[in-house]
Amino acid sequence: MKTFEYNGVKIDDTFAEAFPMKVVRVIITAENLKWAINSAISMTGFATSVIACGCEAGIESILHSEKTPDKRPGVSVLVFSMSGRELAKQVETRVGQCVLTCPTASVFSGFDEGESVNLAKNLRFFGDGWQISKVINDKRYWRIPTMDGEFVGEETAKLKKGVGGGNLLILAQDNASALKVAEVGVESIKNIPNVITPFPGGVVRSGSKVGSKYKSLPASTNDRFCPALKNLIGDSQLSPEIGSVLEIVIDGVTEHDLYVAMKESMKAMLDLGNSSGLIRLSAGNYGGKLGPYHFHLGKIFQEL
Amino acid sequence: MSKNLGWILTLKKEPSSRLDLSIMIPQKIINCSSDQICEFKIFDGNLNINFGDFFNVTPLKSKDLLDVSKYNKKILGITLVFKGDLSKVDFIGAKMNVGKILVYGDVGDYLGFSLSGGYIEVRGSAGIHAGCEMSGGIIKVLRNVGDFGASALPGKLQGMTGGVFLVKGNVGDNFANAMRRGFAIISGDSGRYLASKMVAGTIVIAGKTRSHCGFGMKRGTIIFSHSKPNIPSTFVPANYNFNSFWGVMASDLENYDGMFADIARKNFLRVVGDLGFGGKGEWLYVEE
Repeated sequence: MKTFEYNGVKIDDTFAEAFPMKVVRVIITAENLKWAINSAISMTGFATSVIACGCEAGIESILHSEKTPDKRPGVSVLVFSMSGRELAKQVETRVGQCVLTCPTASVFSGFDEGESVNLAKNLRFFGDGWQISKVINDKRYWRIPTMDGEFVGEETAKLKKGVGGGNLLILAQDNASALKVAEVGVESIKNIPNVITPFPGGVVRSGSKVGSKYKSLPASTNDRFCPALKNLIGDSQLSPEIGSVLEIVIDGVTEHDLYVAMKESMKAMLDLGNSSGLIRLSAGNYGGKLGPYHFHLGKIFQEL
Repeated sequence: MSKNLGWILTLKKEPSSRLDLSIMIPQKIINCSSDQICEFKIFDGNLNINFGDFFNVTPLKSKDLLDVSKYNKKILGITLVFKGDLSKVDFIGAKMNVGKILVYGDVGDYLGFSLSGGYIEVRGSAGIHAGCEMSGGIIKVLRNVGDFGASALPGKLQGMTGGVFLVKGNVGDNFANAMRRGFAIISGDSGRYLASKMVAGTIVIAGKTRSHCGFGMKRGTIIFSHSKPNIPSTFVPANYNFNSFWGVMASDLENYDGMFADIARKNFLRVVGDLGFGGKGEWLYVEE
């Protein structure tokens, strides 16, 4: 495979393959930022991969009070899923269990346009007849009495098309250096709007390939990038000096958002150079069969 | 051919009795020439006469257009500008669903009756039943509004069911009677029976209210933004932390009028009632 080189780090001339998803943005506010974050962390828990979680979710950004609908501190959360129906179910369930339950928290739609999905529309029945509807500036809000006062939720959120599965593979000397480089890569994305990194700390170690020797499994370990298997399989992608591989997975509202995030992350990691233990950067794809969005590392590298 | 922006309609002579102008709304004359507009039949009392007998019709120029961008509403259609003393002219903007109407001076009764869209601004006072049974759009009256504004017609069960009604002056008796949805802001005082039999919606009043305010109120919100009202025995305290709702409401109010610029920073108390009718209506009043 052709490679590029920067700061002693090799960059594979390959591409990350992303695919269409559906996305909803919700804004969670609370009396103070601590409780807004508590609610957001809870809502985005167990939401690393659509393979078994039903959705991929993460905190997009922290919002100052002047940027939220109720002028309280808040958090913007993005939730992705493969189908609109599944996403609607996930959003409603998670808001019901993680925002409605969180002290002082309220929830609002983060997109102004798109297909409507229920946010507090059905949660209002928790009010047992004491719920109050308010239409303010053409948006309907539900106020549900709770033990700390009331829960306020916008009736619906807006669903849009999104892009999921942008990724970067970090091939490093050992675990310590791979973790350090990955942390820098994730940190550089934190302030980029419209993207999330849904895995723990933004990083995944169990990269997968499509299929398995077991017929019932749709995906299995990405053996070509497992250091433990490099001398056991014929098509390992790892050279002898590579001892650890980690992956940053990124979901974005648009293809451009994802591109920007990948570019920033790549730049931050390459700036560390090979003295950090980073040996190669690569990306995961399925030969172009999985998704229509291809992010070529070579092209991104040339624009750095 | 230049785009038709609208028309200036100037009253030529005082009508002998009441004029019914319900036909003269933007959606009905959008494709008409001035001659065609003059031939529209209107009623002067029980006489069927030509519109042109009472009004001069001249094309509107772009400098006369209204800017309503601050209301965050996209209002399409042509603009009608009325000039002259229209205090005997009724049903201006009745059943209008698109476009804008600007009136220089006072208007008669039933301004914006059954309005469902568009924008009406009166730079004077309006008579009785203004905004009666409106379901959408915006009405702004810069002076006073007579009795039964935003209310139900006699015998009907629902008053205003949507839209926005802004009054910079005072309102008469029975304003928002049987109101069900919508948003009304009164910068001045109200007469008796404000929001009586209110079913839903929001009213903000900056001035004072008279007797029987909220009588028979089932649901809905009345916000007393600048003073504490007399609280009847059928309303009881129900205070709690409603900061989130208040944040949304206050930031919306700030869009409508400068007098609400600091409303988000004020402390408000809450009572609910009318207990004789379920007790789900709420009053929010500024803590003195």
